[in-house]
Amino acid sequence: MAVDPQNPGAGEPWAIRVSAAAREQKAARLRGAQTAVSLAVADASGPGWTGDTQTAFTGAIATTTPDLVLLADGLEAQAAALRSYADQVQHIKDQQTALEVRRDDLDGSLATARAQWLQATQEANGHYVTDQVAARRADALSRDIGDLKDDIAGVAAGWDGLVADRARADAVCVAALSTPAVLGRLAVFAGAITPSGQKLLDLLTGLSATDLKALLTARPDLLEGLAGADAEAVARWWSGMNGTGGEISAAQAALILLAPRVIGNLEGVAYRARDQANRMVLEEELAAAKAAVSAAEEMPSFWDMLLGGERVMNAHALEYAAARERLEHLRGIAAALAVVSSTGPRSLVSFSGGPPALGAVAISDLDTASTVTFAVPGMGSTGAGMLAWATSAENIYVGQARLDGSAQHAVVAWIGYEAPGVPPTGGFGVLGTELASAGGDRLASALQGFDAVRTDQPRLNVLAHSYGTTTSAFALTQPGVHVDAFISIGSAGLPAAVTSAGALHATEVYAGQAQDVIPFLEAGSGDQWAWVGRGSTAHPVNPIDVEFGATRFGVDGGAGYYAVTDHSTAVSAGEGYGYLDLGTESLENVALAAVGAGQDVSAYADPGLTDLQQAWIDSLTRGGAPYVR
Amino acid sequence: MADLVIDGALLRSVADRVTTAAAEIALDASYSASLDAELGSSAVASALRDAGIQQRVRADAVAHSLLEVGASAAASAAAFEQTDRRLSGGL
Repeated sequence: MAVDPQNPGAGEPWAIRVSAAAREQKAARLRGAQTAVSLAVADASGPGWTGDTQTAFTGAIATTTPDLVLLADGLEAQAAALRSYADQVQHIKDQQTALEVRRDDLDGSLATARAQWLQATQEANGHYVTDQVAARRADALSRDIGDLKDDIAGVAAGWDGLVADRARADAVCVAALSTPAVLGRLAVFAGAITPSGQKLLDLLTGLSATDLKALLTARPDLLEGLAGADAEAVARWWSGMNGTGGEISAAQAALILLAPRVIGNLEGVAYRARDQANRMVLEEELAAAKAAVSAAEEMPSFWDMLLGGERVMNAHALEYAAARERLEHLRGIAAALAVVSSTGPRSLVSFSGGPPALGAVAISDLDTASTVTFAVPGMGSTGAGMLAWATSAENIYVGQARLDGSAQHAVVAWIGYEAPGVPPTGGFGVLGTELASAGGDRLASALQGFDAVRTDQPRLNVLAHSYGTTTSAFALTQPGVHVDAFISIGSAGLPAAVTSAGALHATEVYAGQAQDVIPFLEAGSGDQWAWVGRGSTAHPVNPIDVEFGATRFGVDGGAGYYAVTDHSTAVSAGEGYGYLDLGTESLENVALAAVGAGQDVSAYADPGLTDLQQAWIDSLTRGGAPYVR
Repeated sequence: MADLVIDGALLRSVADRVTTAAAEIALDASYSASLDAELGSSAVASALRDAGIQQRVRADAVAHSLLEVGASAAASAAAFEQTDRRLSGGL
């Protein structure tokens, strides 16, 4: 910070010395504590106590010694720096006082001289004769004025010198307060420069739990510099801190506790750690959302309503609706996490409070599973629907486990992007690719993060439904992204540029598509919306087309399985079947593809047109004659 | 496993020393207070405050560790003596 040019001697040297003395005294007490601890260790190391507990005791004490020494050293170094600083400030303050007195004197003399010069000049230039004496006096005063101005300029230069001296003193003191003697290994973080990316990872590497707590308490936003860091580098950094047997270490626990919003979404961090961090943030967000709803339930004041009328009431209604919606989204994610299932505990592997709240709930353990499937939903997906989507994800898991019980599976209910709303109330974003492109970037990042964490290369799949296939296509065409299988169901169309399965970075590409049916008129007999989505010029590619080159599988029922009767993935019991409902041919084939048994999927048979569709075509081709069956 | 020898009085003495030391370590809020007016420089005040925040966290961590260690020593002494009494009572 710049020195105040009006007051280079700002500050109270006596108060600075008091602070220095307090630090010296505290340092002495810390030295005393250190001695007491050393004596305790010496006592504990004698013949009166041996065994594992004694070993653990002395070991635990030993870990505190470096921090104790650093604290005492640091306080002494601060005291020395502050004493020196107080002396310099005092010196500058004294000089400043002297200059102020001198400047006041000179200003007074100048004013007097100017007044005398004006008088002498008037006397010298009379109306009829020139007063030679007065003229000489005016000349002399003029010279005096010049000298006084020179002196005042000298004072100003001296003042500038004091400002420069203070700036130097400040800089020296700041440097002395930021040395390793004071801050230990954290000295590299001193100053206004905020490191990021690889540089930040390098600086963080090797810091103890105590160092990390101290650093992040002082600079809570520091880890935000890791956003976008290379996932593989993050994975190396994170796993380098692992505790015994891969458990979460004290250093990792400190990072989770102090920067949960960063750690919970940092690609490259182990998923169990991300789960811990994200659950903490979810709790915070839920509490905030509940408070927001309570606040929004309060009616505007009488005077606000009277003066603002309908405008105020509308604004209040919108605020209330937004608060309720946000709470519903968060509660949906919490509900999906709370499910107790035979598939084991679920984890929140990514989360952001939004709005809109986004998250990914993993069924089973992403850190250890040998087959992992990211399930990407389509239009209308929000946090509020996480419970249902996680149920669909669990259905896939159950199908996989039945087909291959020897492997450990995991499925991620990934609502990690802002999906388009359902038209017309939700807008017509579903016809464009803006949200799919943005979502694709996020999905690509998640997949790359998975590759970085799981260097043992388990089987990795993406299962996508409806507009989720559009989103996934954006992810799977990015450099550095590759999956073992991409499975498309009820596709709302892939981007126009993705003309074949070969364009996707997937070893295997599968597609399942129910009978295209007319919305409302043929409800309950097939997929009424996917073909509408593929009508978009932005994402017209149908992966079920033969020329696309995917392995096509059946979903219309066969071999004792249920047929898909709706575009959705889950349909209420008794009202038909969605693509991921239990007992469907669709789910069976998805599970087969996910476990790597794609050769066993049931074949797709083009269902052709429905009777009604054929009738309409016939009617049109006969010039509008009515269809008679 | 190391041979087990425990002097209960020694453990309590050790625990007491460590616990007393821990109480000396904490730094109060004055170490991380804003001293802009006293120092006359926001840059120096900021550096001192940042360092103070870190020192207070470090001091708390050290004190917490020592208290835990001291408690474990005291608990060991108590557990040993209790076991010793129970065993001797059975003879």
